[in-house]
Amino acid sequence: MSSTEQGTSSAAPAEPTTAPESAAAPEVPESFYYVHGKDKVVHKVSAGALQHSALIHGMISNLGYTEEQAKANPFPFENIDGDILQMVVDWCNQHKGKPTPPEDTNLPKQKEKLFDLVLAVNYLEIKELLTYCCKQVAMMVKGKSPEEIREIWMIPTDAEDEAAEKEAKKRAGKEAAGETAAAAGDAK
Amino acid sequence: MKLSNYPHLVQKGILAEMETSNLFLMSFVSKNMKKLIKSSQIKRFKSISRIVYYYDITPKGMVYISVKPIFHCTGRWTRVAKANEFILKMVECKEDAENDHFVLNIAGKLINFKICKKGYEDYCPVASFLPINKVSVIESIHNCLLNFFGDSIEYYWVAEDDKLFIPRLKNLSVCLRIRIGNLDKVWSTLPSSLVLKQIIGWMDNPFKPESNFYQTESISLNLNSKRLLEVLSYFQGRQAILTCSYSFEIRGLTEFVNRWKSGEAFQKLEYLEVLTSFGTDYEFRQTQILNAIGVKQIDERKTPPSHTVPRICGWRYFRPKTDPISSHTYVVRETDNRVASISIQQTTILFGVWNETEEEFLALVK
Repeated sequence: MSSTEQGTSSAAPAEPTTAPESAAAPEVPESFYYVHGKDKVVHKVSAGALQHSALIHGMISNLGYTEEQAKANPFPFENIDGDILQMVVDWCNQHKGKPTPPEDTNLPKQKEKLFDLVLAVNYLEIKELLTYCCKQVAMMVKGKSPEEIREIWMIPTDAEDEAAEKEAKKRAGKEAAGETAAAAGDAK
Repeated sequence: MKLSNYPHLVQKGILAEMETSNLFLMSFVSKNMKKLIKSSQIKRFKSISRIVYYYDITPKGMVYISVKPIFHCTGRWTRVAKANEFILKMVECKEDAENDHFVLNIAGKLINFKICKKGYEDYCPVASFLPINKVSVIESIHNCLLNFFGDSIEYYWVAEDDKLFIPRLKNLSVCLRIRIGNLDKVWSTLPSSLVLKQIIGWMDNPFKPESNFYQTESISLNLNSKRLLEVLSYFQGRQAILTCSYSFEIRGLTEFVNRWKSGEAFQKLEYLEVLTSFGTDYEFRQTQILNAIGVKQIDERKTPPSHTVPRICGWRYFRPKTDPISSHTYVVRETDNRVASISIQQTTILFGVWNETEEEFLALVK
């Protein structure tokens, strides 16, 4: 359903290849759109699969692109790593037009990958996948003591929070004093 | 992975996916974390109807939330896969804590904890303490839960049979369940000022009319006909389910209804269910009872409204409402014109008090 090809950093996206979509062709020809992440690899995705993303769905619903226009104007998601976007595209394809199951066991187990996936999914507004990701993140601290939870999620201690708060206040005070001085200078 | 790097909505989503016991433990990570949990999970915490303290046969206690049961079907059998969500367990121990414990400051008291990683209470935090500290530990845990979940939730202490330790704590309702022996023997061991939320058990011997026993909000008792008459005379609570295996004097029921109608007694009563034996001349007695009570009738061709109220069910989620009463017969209280539906079916008498006046009640008839 989707295909990827190593793109270049130029504005024109590389020509993607199309994998066979399914055995039974849809009666109405489906429209496709193109997305790419930080790595510029372009992914061809059907409008049906993209419906999972409220952000992209909102973008495409008003465009009325032809196939050629869509190909020439892939949606750039420069804030999303290529491999993460690939995961998202795969998930959208797998769950296209299907009710989402209560659990998804195919999410990455590595902390950093999962962290990036959560941010991407949140940005793209894919509600169901975000719920799965949140569940997976929550599972990381199941059965852990408060100290272990602190370590896993890098949560500051009360003392660190207080120090950070003091520092922020100090900085805000300095900034306010700077602004007052600048305003006084302007007045002169 | 730094949790604070996630947008607030994502943090909220992660917390929403955590089990309550996990959230409880996480609230000890920092003050800010506790604030975040409390502010982001307001709706979830508000949906908790009751938190239950329960001691089982061993000296182990558990604190859990009653949740809507999840049923698991295997072939011909259906079992309850989950009816409670554990918050923590409590264990009285004779020695100092084991190696894998950690210490938490629970409402000013340092208590040893470990994580239970076996059985159906998978990953439940377990508080361990010396028996001598039991009262103060339970008090601290209760205060901590009040602070974390709020005081709008009902907190139930379930005491049963030989485990009659009942702590006196703020906002704590007590349910007494006696399966072995008689209620009056147990009652004599309890503090005289204690007013209970619910009593379930057998009652053979009488209580004095002025006893706090009659102020219990909900009772579910097996008793003889004499005791039944006494309960019908003195009960001041909201719900009563009384099972009497002997035949039962109509006089008791007519007196009960007359006192309710006059507004003299049973002003808090919402629901009464009497299961009894009327003997073989049931048909005759049903008419006799209804005549003796002096009921009013709804047109037989019309459908009466159905009465049901949330059950004061203690620690269980099952059957959250009383059995519906849909009856063409009713009585009206003279003092405020409120209606009570009366149903006499075979060996069951149901009496359900409406919030509606007679006029409002009749408007509900279809």
